[in-house]
Amino acid sequence: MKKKYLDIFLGILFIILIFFMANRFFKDSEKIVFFKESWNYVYNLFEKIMGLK
Amino acid sequence: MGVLLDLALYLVSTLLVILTAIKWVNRLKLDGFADKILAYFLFSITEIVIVNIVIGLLLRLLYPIYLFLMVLVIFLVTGFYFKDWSVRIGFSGIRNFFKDIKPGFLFIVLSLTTIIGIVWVLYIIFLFPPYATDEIMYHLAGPVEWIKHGMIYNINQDQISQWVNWYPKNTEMLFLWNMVFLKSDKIAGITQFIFALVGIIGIYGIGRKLGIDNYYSLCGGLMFLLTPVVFIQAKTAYIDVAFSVMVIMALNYLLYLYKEFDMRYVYLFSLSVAFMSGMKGSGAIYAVVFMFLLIIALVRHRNTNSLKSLLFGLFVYILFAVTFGAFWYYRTWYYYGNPVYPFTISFHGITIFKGLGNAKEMIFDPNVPFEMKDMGKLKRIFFSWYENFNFARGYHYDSRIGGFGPVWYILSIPAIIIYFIKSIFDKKWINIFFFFSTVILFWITPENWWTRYVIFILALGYVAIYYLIENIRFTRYIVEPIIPILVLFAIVISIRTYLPLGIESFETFERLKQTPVFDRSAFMANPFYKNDVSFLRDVKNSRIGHFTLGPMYPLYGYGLSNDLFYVGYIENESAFFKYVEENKIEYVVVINNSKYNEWMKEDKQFKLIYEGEMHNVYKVLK
Repeated sequence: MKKKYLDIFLGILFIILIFFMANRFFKDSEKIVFFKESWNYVYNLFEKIMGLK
Repeated sequence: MGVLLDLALYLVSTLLVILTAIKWVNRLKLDGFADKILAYFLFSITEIVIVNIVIGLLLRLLYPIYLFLMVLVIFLVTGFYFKDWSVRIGFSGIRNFFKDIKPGFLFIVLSLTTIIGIVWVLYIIFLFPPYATDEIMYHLAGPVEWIKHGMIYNINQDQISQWVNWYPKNTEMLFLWNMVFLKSDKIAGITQFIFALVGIIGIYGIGRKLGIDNYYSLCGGLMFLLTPVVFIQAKTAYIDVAFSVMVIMALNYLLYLYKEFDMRYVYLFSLSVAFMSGMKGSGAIYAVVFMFLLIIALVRHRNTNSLKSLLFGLFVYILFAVTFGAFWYYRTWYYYGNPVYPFTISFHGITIFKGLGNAKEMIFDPNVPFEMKDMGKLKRIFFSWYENFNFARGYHYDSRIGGFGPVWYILSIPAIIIYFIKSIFDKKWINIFFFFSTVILFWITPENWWTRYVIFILALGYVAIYYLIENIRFTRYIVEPIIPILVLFAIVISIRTYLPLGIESFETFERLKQTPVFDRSAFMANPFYKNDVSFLRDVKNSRIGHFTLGPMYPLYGYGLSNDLFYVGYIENESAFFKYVEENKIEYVVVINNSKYNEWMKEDKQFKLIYEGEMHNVYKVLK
């Protein structure tokens, strides 16, 4: 029983930490901007390689 | 036809190596799927290194036919020794392995992304010649010179390529194997990629030993390949991925030994550590740490095994370490009077081995990004892991800031903390042993903020995530959907920044696509020289003198056909002219404002054929 509650506590702590770290990581808005640029690059590249463009 | 024959000889020789490894490993009768696959790989790469050393270094007969003959002899001797000519690869085991895995959403996404990643890496290998800094500065320069001279020796080229003479060379032996048969660097890039695939199995094996099921262990393994620094570096002829995979392999076998004492695993563990320490200078430090970890594992079995057998296990480890593991260090010691040349080794002000300087001054301090200069050790690590894209601008094969991607920062760091706490409460000593083993290896690594140096730590992070998902079941509803999002985020950016600036353009793609495969050469996709080496487009099988600001590797030209002669050691004019004449040099590439340029400008024997931004090119008139 004790183990079960400990697991619940650790599980919740794990999830809280994940959201905390995610919030910190993506606070750097450059990452999202860079991702969008990268997505466009990859999409264009795919079109180019496949001969669609 | 020639290329086809070369390719056939390469494939047959490699197949013989693999078949020999299979015979030896089958003899060990290992149980686990991962342990078996890892052992096949370990035996194969060990044989390749030994064959190269015997043929290339000792006999000085580094030609494909001799390599083929030696692996053939080893295969035949193995067959006669075991009196067994059948080859059981164990396809049924592989089939059963995949049958056991129920395809869930996470596995499907990770598998598909991995397949896309593999196709992309193979496409880049097929399309691009070597382009990454260290590979063209020295990792591949050594093998090219060895192939040209038919032996492994200390190459006598520019200062930067001397590193290949000084460093332990096990990985270079593998690059050499993938180059010598085809006399080309076309598939050299596949070497680390194979290691990256083996890393998947390594992490899977560790996961299984910590009690994680097949499905999640494999998901952890797949995430290894999809980590930006692994994915991007896997194509290059660097050694970081290969080195870390060997650390992961050693950890995998060590965990078995922690659970159970078995001499077969002592041999496998010892061999994997010995191989690893022959790959990189810091490998020797790791080997010492691994020895203490082995002692801890052995002490655990003191009540169930005799002291004699445990001591024999330790003896085997030390024997492997001081023979196979230390081979390159002895060689460097012999030639330079210092086993870890060019680094000076001193203790409390007393110089034990004299080199060109200490590692901190020569390598570590100059490579610290200016943003990190004033930070302490721990702060540097977290600064790097945070991956500030204002500085990093994505991921690169040599990322100084970041490289582990968002999965590491967002999921792995919390997971490692909770995994550690849970393991203590649950008294899971093997988990704690794995935690400390990895963290100690991480901590003793010089410049551990540099992600490419410590790729093996990913094993702890990924195993921790899946350990928690499996053991605290409700967390999976949150964590499982997050994983593919973060993995996709990283892979999209990784594909964008796969190639260094200057060669990622569509124009370069097009130019390379229009060039025959074996003619795609480093000079065609090198961002450094720009047009300065454009004369190579019309040059093949030539003798080129060089004194350049950049790496010499692009000067090898089409199909590595040119022979290079470094003129930078020559001090006076007459010696220079004599050197050019004696070596029948046909072209000379030099820095614009160098003394060599002045000498040639004034001499009618030399005709200036290209005046570039940084370099001038002269043709030697007969």
